[in-house]
Amino acid sequence: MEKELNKLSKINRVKVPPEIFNSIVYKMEANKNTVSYKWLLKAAAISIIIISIDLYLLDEFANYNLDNEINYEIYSLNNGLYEI
Amino acid sequence: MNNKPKLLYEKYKELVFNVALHYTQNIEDAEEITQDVFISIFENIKDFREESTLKTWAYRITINKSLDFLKSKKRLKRIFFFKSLKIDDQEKKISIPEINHPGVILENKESVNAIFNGINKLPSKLKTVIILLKIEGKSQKETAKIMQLSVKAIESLFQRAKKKLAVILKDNEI
Repeated sequence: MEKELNKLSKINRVKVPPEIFNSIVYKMEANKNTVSYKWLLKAAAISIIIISIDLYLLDEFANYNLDNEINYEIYSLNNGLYEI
Repeated sequence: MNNKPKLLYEKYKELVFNVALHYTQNIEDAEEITQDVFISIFENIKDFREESTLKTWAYRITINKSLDFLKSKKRLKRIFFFKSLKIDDQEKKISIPEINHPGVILENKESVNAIFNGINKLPSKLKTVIILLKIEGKSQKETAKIMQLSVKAIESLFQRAKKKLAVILKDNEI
């Protein structure tokens, strides 16, 4: 086995293709753009969530007030606190 | 981009590319890994703590990226497994990636390719030990530093790797 493995030590160093560095620079630039694009998407998603929550709360709040007023009037009428 | 990344690249490009080549045994994959390794080095150089040398750090990143690359390649192969079932045998032969390490001398090509076939079937730690000790010619101490293990652990991993490889090569002969 040792003899077989020693054949591996005869493997020569291979020269690096010259175009790799440019590809690295290109990939890094592309990554930067992807990152900023992802941030934009995240910001948009967060804004949509906040707006949805706001609309929901506004709706709930409006209904709550109206319901309360109606309930109060019914309660008042039933209990003689309020006369038409 | 300032000059520092270029200098780093010039210093370690051969190390990174050749280690990636030992793992993948083909130029295209080694190129891809080299790109990923240097992107990772450039992005994380500020966080580099000088507990180890830059060279050891470059080795570690290259080994991890190579293993990740091979894992994701395996996963892809599994996904397309059913597709390949439909392809007839002739086409299947074409799609099997051939071992084509450009650093292997012609007279040794057949036997070294057989050894690489065996090495590729070893678990990642055993594979790394053989690559560092036998191909990269690192000492046990250096290998221990790179793999963040003790020298004793490296010794025992190497013995296990040899035993396993012998069994695999014997099975392949039959």
